Amino acid sequence: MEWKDYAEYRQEDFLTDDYFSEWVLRPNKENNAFWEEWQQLYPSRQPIITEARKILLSLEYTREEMPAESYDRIWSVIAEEMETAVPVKKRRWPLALAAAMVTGMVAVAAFWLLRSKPVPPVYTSQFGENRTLVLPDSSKVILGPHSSLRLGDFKGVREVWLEGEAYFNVQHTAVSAQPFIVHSRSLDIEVLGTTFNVKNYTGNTQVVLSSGKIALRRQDERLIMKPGDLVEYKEKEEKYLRKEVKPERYASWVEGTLVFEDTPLETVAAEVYHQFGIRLVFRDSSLAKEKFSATLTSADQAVVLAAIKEAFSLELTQGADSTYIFTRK
Amino acid sequence: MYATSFHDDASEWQAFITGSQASCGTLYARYAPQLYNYGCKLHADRSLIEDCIQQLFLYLLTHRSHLSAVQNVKAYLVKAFRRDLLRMAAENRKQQEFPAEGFDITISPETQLISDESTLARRRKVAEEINALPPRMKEVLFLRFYENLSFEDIAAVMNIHQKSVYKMVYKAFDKLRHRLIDFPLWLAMGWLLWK
Repeated sequence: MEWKDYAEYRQEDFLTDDYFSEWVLRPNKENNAFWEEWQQLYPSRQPIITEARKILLSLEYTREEMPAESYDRIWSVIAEEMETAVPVKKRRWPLALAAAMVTGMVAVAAFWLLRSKPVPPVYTSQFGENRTLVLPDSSKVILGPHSSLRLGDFKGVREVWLEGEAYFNVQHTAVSAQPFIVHSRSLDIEVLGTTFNVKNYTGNTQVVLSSGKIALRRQDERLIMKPGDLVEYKEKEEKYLRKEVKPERYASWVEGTLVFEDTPLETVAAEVYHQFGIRLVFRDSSLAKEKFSATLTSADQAVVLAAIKEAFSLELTQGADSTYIFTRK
Repeated sequence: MYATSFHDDASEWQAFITGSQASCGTLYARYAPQLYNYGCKLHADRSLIEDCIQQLFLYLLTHRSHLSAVQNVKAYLVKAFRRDLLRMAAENRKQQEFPAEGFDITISPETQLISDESTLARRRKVAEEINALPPRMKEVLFLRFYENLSFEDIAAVMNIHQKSVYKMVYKAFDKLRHRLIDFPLWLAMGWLLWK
């Protein structure tokens, strides 16, 4: 524990200090030794410490006990669910016994399959990672960072639900002309063999079509898109924005390239948050509105931070964990 | 720095997502009662809270092969539970029943027994001031000093910036200090006389 400048601390500073509250609420040999010694060195600060301690110790809360029968009931449901997913262990058995076992296992497995509903998988990605997924129909999806994709059962209609961003390359099989539908917030995207990019981080869904043909559906309106179209659906105003773009720029994140075109810094900050999980803070509000344009290949967070810093010749300081503060010079 | 069980939690979690049944039991035993207590403060309907706990653990169990390592298991569970409970509560809005307990601080009977009158009067004053704070502020205090979550974890749980969490705690205590300065001694004496 380094000797912070505790000497300058006011009561509120102590109360918001992790090491202090740890000592008050969870004292141990090490923190006791530190604070005892500290108080001896700064006797004049003792009243403040005593006062702060008293306040922390008066933060009592009632504890609601979980009823035992509820605890047991829920546990039995979980335990039963666990039974349905017992992994099969490999062992060496005499052949006859093995054969008998296999039959038994098949029977058991069939029994479980019949009685338990299969759970549709959900794929999630962390900050800063893209995941390449191959769906049951061999369509390919590249899931962007900090996103999730839930699959339907793919038995008839192929359906997926997206949170975040993903680039789709949908297999169009003539044999099974089953529609493929991406659900994004209140918008459905109906696909007819195609590559396109969808993102809804902000709550609005933005779809960019690279090739093929898709239709956006909402309640009973249908809007057909053609390659090179960007359509953004504004959830709040319930309206569409449409413009022609170079679709490859919107899918560049797949290769790790980030593209910004006249993007306000506050929007850049949101993108960067989803990409890397870092927070950008702009010291004055006019800065957040500045427009930023850049194409950053193999962009990691250092590249992005440096690019913003250079573009507006700013000071960059690192705040508390993974916050970066930009100030005008 | 936080919670001594932090490390066994992370390895417990790792064992859980790789299929250990025992770990599932350990995590349930450790966290179901904590989530229940937290839930009661957020929402009045006990059966909804129980459903929510059941759903959360079933979800984790059925999706465990897709889950990744988490830094702080408790914060992860509290965040997921809070989100689900508030969502279920919004979907389930029947006629408004009685309000949830909320995050008020209390003075336990034990405290009342062992404290002298002036201490008790002061505690009543602290409780009164803290309980008058906005609900979100009180929730932050609860998560920080009762559940022992870090500022960073609380920010994730409540979906706000870490800076605002810090500011809320600071503000709450700043206000409290000013109110307590004005807290006259004769009021404490008054309690003595009145007894």
